[in-house]
Amino acid sequence: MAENLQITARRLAAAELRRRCDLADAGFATTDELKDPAEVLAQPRAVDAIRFGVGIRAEGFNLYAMGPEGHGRHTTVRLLLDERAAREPVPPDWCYVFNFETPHKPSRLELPAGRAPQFSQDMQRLVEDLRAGIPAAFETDEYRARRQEIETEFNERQEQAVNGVGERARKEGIALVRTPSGFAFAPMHKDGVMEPERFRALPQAEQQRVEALIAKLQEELETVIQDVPKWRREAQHKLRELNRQVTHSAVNSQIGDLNTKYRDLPQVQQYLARVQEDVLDHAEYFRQPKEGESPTLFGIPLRAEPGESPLKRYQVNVVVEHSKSEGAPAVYEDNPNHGNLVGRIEHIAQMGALVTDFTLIKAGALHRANGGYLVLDALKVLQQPFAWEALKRVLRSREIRIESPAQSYGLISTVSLEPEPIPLDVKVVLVGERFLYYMLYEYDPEFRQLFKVAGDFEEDTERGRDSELAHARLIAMLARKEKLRALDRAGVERMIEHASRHAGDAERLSLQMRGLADLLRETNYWAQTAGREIAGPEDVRRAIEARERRQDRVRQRLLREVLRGTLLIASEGERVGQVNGLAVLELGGFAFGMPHRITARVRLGGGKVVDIEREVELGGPLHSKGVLILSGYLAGRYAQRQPLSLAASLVFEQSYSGVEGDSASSAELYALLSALAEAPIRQSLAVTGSVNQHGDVQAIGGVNDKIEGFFDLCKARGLTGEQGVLIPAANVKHLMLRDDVVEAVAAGRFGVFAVDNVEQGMEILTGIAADALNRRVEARLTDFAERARAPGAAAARTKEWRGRPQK
Amino acid sequence: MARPPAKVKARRIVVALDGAAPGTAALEAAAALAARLRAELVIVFVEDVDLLHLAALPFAREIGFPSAASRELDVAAMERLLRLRAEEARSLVAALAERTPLKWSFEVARGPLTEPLLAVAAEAELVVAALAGSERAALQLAAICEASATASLLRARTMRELHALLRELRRLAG
Repeated sequence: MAENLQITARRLAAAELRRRCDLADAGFATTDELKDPAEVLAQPRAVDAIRFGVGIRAEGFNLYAMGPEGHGRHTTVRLLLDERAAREPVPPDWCYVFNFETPHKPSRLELPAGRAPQFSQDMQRLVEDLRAGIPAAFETDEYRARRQEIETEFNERQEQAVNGVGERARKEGIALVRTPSGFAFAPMHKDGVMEPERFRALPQAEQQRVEALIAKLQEELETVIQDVPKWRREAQHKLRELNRQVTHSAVNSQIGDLNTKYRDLPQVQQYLARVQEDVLDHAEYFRQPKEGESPTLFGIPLRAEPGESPLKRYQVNVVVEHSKSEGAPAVYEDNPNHGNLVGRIEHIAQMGALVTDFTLIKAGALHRANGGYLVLDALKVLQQPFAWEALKRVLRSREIRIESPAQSYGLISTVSLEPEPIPLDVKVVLVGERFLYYMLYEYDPEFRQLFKVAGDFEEDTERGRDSELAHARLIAMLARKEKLRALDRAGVERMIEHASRHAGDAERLSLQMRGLADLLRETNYWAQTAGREIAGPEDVRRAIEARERRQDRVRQRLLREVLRGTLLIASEGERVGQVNGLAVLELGGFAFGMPHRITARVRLGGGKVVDIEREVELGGPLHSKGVLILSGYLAGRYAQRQPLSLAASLVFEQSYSGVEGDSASSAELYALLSALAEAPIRQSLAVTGSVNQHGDVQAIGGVNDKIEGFFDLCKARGLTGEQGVLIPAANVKHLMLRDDVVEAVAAGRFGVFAVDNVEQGMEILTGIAADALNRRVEARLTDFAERARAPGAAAARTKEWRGRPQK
Repeated sequence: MARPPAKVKARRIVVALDGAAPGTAALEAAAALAARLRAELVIVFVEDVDLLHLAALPFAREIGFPSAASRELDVAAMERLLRLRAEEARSLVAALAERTPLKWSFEVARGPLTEPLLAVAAEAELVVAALAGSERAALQLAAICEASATASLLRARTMRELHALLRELRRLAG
C-alpha cells in the first residue's frame, strides 16, 4: 500500500463488528428472577390479524396464519384461540338418532351443552325398563282374559254360524258332518249318516229331493264360511288394538317421565313422540328372547354382537358432547385426513357383508370444533387425499355432511347411510408456509373466499432494550416450562446476541422460537455436562459451537482442500486480474462462507464482457445481471466518448456447480479494473458486495458468514494483520461476528473495511489512488478504442489472436 | 260329560281322537299330563264311519274350511286321508315320547268302539275324548265313564270346548 495514499474506506473498529447485549441494568442475575413475557413476542401484525379474524363473525373470514416454520405460529394461534374461546359460550351437543321414517337417513338431534350423554343414558334406561315393563303388561291376567275374549268371540261366531246351518239341515233330516278338512252334508239315518246302500234304495224322487236340498245347504254353508276370513281379520285387528293399548299403558308412563325431563327441548319431545309410536307398533321387539338365544345359521350366530338387536334403534349416538368443556372448543387436528375432518361411518363385518347403522357414525374434528375453532396444518390438509376439497365444501355449505370420499365422488352407488347434515359454525385457522398461502390464493379461487384473513408472522423484530428484555423473559419462560437450568445474565445476553446473529442483523432479533428453545435445551445439556447448576455464557457458546461442529463437515473439507492447495485461494501476495470473492453455501440449515477465486482477462474486442459462468449455464440470472451491470458501469464511467472496444472474460475459478446472486459483482469489477489498469490486487483481502451502474457498492446477504469464511482460512494459515474483508458500508449494521473475529480485529490482526463505492475498494485492494487508477483504466480503454478504429485493426486483432497461444 | 275330577292319580289316560283339529292339541296336553303323572297313555284313533258313508254317497261333496272351496269326495281318498291323519297322530306321540319318557300305545278303531277297547277305557282314570265327529264313539265313551268307578271324562268337540279341556288338563298337570 502506498504510504501517501489517503484511504477513504473505513476500517471498522472491533466494537462495530458485534453489537453486544447488555442487560446489566435490567436487575436480574438469573432467569429465575424474570417474569414470563406479558404477551406474544413481537408479532403485532400477526396477533392483530388473528384477533381480528377470530373476532369477526362473517362468512369466509377464516384465517391463514403464515410464516416460516418454528416461529411460534401454532403456539400463538393456540394461545389467542384459547384466550378467546374461554370467554365464549359452550356449543350444543349433537347426537344421531334413528330415523323412523327413512331409516337410511339418521336424524340429528341438538341438545344443550353437556346434556347429550344424560339423554343417551336415559334412552338406554327407557329401553331396559320397557323390556321389563312391556312383557310384564302382556303377562297380566287382564291381558290374557281380554285376549281370550277376542279369540273366543271369533270362534263362537264361526261355530254359531256353522251350527246354524247345521240345525236347519237337521230339521230337514240332513246331517252336517265334519270332515278332516271341512264340512259335508249327508242324509241322516238314525243317529248317523245314511249308508250308501240305503240311500240308493230310496225312491228316485226322494233321492233327487235330498240331493237338491243338500246342494242348497252347501251353498248356504259356503256363504257362511266365506265370511270367516273377514271375521278373523276383525279379530286380529281387535287383538292388535289390544296389544297397542297394553303397550301404550306400559310405555306412556315411562316416556312421560322423559317428556317432563326434556320439556324445554321441543326437538327431543318430537323424537320421543316418534319413539312412542314406534314402540307401540313394535311391541314384539321387547318380548323377544333375551341374549344367548339369538338365531343361528348352521351354528353361526346371525348377529355379530350380543347388543345387536332391534332395540338398537332406540339408542342415541352422541357424536359430540361438551359435558366437560368450558367455553368454546379450540381443536387442533394433527392428522387432518378426510375421515378425521368430516367424520366417518364405520362398518361391521357380518356374515361376510359389511353393515352399518346410525350408531356407527363417528365424529370428525369439525364436529368437535363446531361452535369454536379448528386449527389445521395447511400442508397436511393439502397432502391428504380429498381433505382439502372436503374442508372447503363444508365451509361453503356451512354444514357437515358425513360421506365417504367414494360417495361424494359418486364412485360407489351402494347407499350405506346419509346422516342428516349438522349445521356448522366454525372458524378454521390454517397454519402454513407463506408460499402455500400465495399459491392457494393464486390458483384456488375458493381459497380467497373462504380464508379472507391472513396473519403474517415476522421472522425478526427490532432489536432494542425492550425487545431484548422481552427476549430474556421468553428465555426464562421456556427454561421454566421445560424445567431446564436457569441461565445467568451473561448467558441470556449471549443467547440474545445469537438471536441477532441468526437474524443476520445487529439491529434485529430473530423470532425463531424453535431455534431458541433448541439452543436453550442444548445449553442446558452442556451445563449439565460441565456440572453447573446455573448455565452461563460458556455453555451457550459451547452449544453454538458444538452445533456448528456437528454440521460443518463440508465446510471443513473445503477448507482442508484450500489449505492443501487443491482449491487455489491465495491469502498473500498480489496479482493482476484476480480477486478473492466470497460465497455463502447453505446445507441443511447450516450456512457458511467460502472464498472463491475470481479472475478477469481483457483484450481488444467488441465491447463485450463474457461471463463464463453464464456461457456454460452455471450462472443464474441474478449473477448474469450483475455482470451486465459491470459492462454498464465500465462504458458509462470510462468510455463515454468512444466505443467500448474491450473483450473481457470473467470466471469463478474452480467452481463446478451453479453460481447465483450478484454479491460477487463488485469482486468481478475489481478483477476487471485490475486487469485493465494492470494494477495487482492484494490477495490478502477478500471482497463482497454488489455494484450498480454508478459504481456504488450495495448491500448483500450473509455478510457475517462471508467474513468468517475468509477469516477461518486466514486463521488457519496464520493471521498477518494484512488480511481483511471488504464489505459494503450498508452491511455494517448487519455485523454480528464471532468472538474470535472480533478479538483478531481488536488486536489488529484482521481488518474489516466498509466500502461505499468501487473506487474506495480499488484503493484498498491495489494501494493506488483512485484518480491514478482511473487514468490507467481510461488510457487502456482509449488505446483499445483507437486500435479498434485504426485501419488494419482487424488484421492486428487477427495477429494478436494468432500470437496469443505462443506467449 | 262326567264331572271332571278335582285331582287325579292316574295310572292310565285314554285319548280318543279322530284327526280333527282339537285332537292334536288335546293329545299334546294329555301326553304332558301322562308324563308328569307317569301314567300310561292309550291313544285311540277313531275312524269315523259317518265319513266313510258320506264319501260313498253319489253326490258327496265337501266344503273346505276355511277356504269355502267345494270338492267331490270318494271313499278311497277319504280312507287315505284318515290313514294319513292316524299316522300323523302316531308320529306326534312318538316324537313326544322321545322328549319325555312316556309309556304309550296306539290303536285305530273304525265305527263303534269294540268291547276290549271300552274295557281299557273303563279301567282308565281319565278319558279325553277330543272328537269332532264320531258321535257314536263319543257317546260310547261317555256311557262307559258314567258306568265306571274310576274313569272321568273330558270332552271337546269344538275349539271352544277344547280351550276348556286344555285348561283342565293343565290344571291337573299342575
